Amino acid sequence: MRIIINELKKIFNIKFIILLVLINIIMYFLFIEFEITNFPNGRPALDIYNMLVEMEDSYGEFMDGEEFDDFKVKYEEVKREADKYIQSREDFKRAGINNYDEFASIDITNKELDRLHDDVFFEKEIDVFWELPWREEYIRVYENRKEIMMEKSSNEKQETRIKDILENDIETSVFSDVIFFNYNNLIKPVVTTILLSVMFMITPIYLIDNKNRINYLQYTSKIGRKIFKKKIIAGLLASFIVVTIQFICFFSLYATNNTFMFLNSNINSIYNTIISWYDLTFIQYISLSIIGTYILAFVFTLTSMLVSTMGQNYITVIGIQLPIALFTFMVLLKHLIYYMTSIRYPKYFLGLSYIILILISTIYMIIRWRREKKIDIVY
Amino acid sequence: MDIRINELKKVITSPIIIGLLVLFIVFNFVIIFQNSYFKDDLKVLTKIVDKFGYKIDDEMEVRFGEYYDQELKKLNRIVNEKESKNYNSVSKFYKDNPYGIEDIYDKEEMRFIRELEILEAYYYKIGEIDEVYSKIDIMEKAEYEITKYRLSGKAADTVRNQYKNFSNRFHQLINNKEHKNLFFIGQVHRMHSLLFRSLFKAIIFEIIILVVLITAYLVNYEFDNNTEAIAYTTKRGRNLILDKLYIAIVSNILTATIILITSLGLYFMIFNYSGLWNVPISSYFNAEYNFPYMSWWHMSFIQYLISSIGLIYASILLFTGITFIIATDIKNTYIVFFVFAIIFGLFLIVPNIAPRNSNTVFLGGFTPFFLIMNPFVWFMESGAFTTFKYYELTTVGIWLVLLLIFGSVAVKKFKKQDI
Repeated sequence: MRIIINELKKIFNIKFIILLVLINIIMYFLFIEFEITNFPNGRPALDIYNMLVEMEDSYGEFMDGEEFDDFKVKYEEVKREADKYIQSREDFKRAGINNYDEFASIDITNKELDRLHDDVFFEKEIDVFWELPWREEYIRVYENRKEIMMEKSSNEKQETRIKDILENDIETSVFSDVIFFNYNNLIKPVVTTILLSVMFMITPIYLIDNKNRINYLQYTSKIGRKIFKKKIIAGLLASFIVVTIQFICFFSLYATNNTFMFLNSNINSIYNTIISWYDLTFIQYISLSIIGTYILAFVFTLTSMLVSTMGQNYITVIGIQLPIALFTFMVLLKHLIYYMTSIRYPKYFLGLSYIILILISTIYMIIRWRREKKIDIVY
Repeated sequence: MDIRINELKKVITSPIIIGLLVLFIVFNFVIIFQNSYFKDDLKVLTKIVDKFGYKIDDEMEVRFGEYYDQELKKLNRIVNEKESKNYNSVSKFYKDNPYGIEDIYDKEEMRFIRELEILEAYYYKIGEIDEVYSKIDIMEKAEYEITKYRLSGKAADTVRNQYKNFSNRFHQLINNKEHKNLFFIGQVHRMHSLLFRSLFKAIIFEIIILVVLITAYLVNYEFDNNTEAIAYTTKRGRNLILDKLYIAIVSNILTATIILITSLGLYFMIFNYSGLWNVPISSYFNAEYNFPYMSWWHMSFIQYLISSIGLIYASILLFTGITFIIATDIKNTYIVFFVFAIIFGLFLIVPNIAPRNSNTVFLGGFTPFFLIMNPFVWFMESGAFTTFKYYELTTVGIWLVLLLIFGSVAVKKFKKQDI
């Protein structure tokens, strides 16, 4: 235990912590901050978000037939509001527009009318006019949901899955890609930052000792080569701490996006871009990505250690880690974190890839440990 | 001299540097091959340029129009045989056959029709040039940039002034008829983006990674291998740091040249630019989005390419200098690498903090880090922060002077410090 604590102290030395904080701040401002401070991003997104909150408020997690009728009634109400606004304005009367329907079919090639159109949307930013097209869109999608859902399948297995969803009316879930897309856009840079931090912290773990020839001293002590194992534990523990702290920071920032009312909504909504193999609620999806990140972090801890034992100097280590990192950030994360459990992939793709990653890293580590037991210290 | 050769050997025999170099070159090849599927479409333009030249003037337009009519007649002859229909354009023909034409026409005919479709695109594009350019208002673009970045006060005035200067250039460009030259259609093929954005950006980042690794590796070699006590304890020994800097520059240039030659070599082998080397880069055909690319100077494609490569070499010097200064201060290559990355990031995010109403907001743009982010708009109208006529030269110049000063301070400090 004492050795593990001392190893942890070595990993968390003050220089590295300062650099780690700086790396995280930069990653935050370069890749994460935008989706946090700009949610919902811009006009239609804001209106969809507001409409969705209202839907969730009055219908709960799913919108059944009766509630849908109510949704249509609300649409009519908003429309009347728009009518009232149009009728209250003289310039609309002069242009011969008396209600929303006439406004919606406005001919924007006509300069005079186009000016009115822009005035309502971009100059005065009247809410109802931004809202109405999306209410219409949501009604249209709901009414045609069976066909729209079925169109998303491209093979038999996906078809059965979609039929399954339709049978249980899960597609009527009150959830939308405005929220889902935002979360996915955030989780990718967050996981990138986390893995980068883990790599940065763990990689020197054996290298420093090898470079300073401390390992010769270690080998001759009572604990001997078992120090290798202790370091593994210390490394895993360190990355657990790093990941947990980063997740706490991230989710306290994410909480400012105000999406907690949708945590219990099923993600397989007709208004969402993903169809999942499983009936996941949003909170379950988030948990899944957290678990995935922890697994990836541990896998990366082990690979970083492995790299650490291989190189005799820093440039070798960086040179090996660099392609691994680039491949992970550019290719691997796209499939393992972004849109997890989507039916775009084979059903067991996600689970299998994670298991393979875990197996590869542990097996390599075991092999390395066996070699460590026998390794000759006179090079 | 011997020392220098030995230093160079450290770099060129390092398996890691060679390995990364190979990996990067392979990566660049992947980028190029991924986009090579349309290379046959580009040949149509080569043929047109062979026949009529790339300059668009009245005579050329007439001849090109006659040729197009003639080819259209050929198309109608073929179509008439099979479907007994007449078309006055290829796009109409395709509209009538939305499900493909494989069943009706043989390979040779299909190739002919496809080529004629591209020819037609050029024909119609030539016709729209004057209209497009008559609608361009540079000052409107300036106002758009100002609202986009929420600039006000002095900052907004600076942008207006710069765009006023650019407006003169714009009129000169139209008088020169630089925009009236044939080139690969930008909106379709995006060749400018492929070369100067995707490929150049990849190359630049690869080069930076190698520059940082090589420079830090050389400078800190003695410390990494615990030989500093031998190498630096004599007075003569301290001068070794200058040899190391010299070799770092040489080997950085060497690796950069290898990457550039292989990647650009393959690029120009796959995409045939013959006959187009002297086409002005500001040609309307090169435009990819609704605002055409317009350079500050009358530059042909080949001049633009060479200037860009020159700028890459200049930034190699700058980044070598920056890494050298960091590395003389921090003796650990691993930390040098991350400190460099952190400084890079800081220079990209800190300018956002500057007030939007004063000219300080532009200072952040004049750094090598900002400079290399958008290689596809070098020497061009490129948005509020970089549309200065001598932006590239100023940035390189200022930083070269700064780095020389700080570099010599670092060397002096190094010579006196405790080992």
